[in-house]
Amino acid sequence: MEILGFLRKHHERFISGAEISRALRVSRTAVWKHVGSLRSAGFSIEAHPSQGYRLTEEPDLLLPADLQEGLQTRFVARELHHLLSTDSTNRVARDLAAKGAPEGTTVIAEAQTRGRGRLGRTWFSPPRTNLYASIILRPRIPMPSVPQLTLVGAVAACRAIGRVYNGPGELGPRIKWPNDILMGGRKVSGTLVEAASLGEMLDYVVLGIGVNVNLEEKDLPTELAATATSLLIAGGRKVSRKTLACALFEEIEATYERFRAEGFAKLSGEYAALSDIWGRQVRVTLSEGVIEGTAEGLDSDGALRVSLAGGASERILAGDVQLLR
Amino acid sequence: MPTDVAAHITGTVWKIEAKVGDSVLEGDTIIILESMKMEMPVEAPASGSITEIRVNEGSAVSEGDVLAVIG
Repeated sequence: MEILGFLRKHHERFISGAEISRALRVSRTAVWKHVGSLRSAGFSIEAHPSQGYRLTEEPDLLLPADLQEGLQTRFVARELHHLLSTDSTNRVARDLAAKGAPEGTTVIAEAQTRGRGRLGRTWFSPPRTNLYASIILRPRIPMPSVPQLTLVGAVAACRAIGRVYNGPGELGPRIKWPNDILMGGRKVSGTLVEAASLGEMLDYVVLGIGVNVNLEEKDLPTELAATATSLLIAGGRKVSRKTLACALFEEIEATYERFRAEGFAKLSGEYAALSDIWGRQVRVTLSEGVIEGTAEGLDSDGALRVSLAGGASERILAGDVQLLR
Repeated sequence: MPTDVAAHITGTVWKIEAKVGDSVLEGDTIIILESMKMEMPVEAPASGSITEIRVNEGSAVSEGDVLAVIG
């Protein structure tokens, strides 16, 4: 990365391999190899046989050094692993966590080849367009509270998206219980939270968040066209992925710290205020069947309360919620 | 002595990763539960062989319910 910094500093002129190798005390072969890897990462570097190298164009990448420059966090994304492509950032984060990576360790990728949604569903993950991040958390909380981290992630993602979004208010981000973020009724962000325990104790949680950022309408796969959206589609202009990533990491840290200090009950009001499903008709697909009713509210533990025709009320902990109107 | 494999959260059974007769080691994942879209593996508290599985994929379970028994 020092070579990239050097090329950036002198982007107005060619600098020779010898000059770079002297200044950074690396071999000329190392310079040449590094230029090659920068190129395959999408950097345009002009090479002239007698004059050397010149950086002409940079891809929009989420390079850790750039990202951490403006980042206001204490522990989230302080250890940041950046990958050009991976199968799934959650998988990489779980491996790091199993080897003892500290709380806050974060994995981001420009592209995922097997981006995972919940229950083995896939998450469409083209390169350099969206944000894919997985954060390792190690809270000391009782097991039954652990699933509430899904809701913590949803609050953070919704707030972060709200910080960078400038489009029409009616298309602003809203939470759909438990963890989807919708804009104009279409999904812009999803979360996959995975936990691992050591016997009776929680070992770690990986909070994986995918946000569709600069995905264009025409690039959405047909099967997602009606149900998915992006910040670009909703707001009509491109959004800096770096700004969004920083906002996301800051919101995750702040929301998580409050959750750890005060528990979910204190956050539930804020969660409810970020959602617009209350009072609306919903269809909930449960493992035992389908129910329809009115989304009534959130219990203090995060369960969704749905009132059924006839006055009965159902507490939902696992199920897919569909808004009917 | 048989050991109970109990649910540590309330939710639903997403996946059953072992079957009756399987020998398992302490720490092996037996069942994966789901609650509020979080996936939570339930591990074998002891080594042995599975003598009973009391739930199906999709079953709703409460914290403390016995999901399986290791003999």
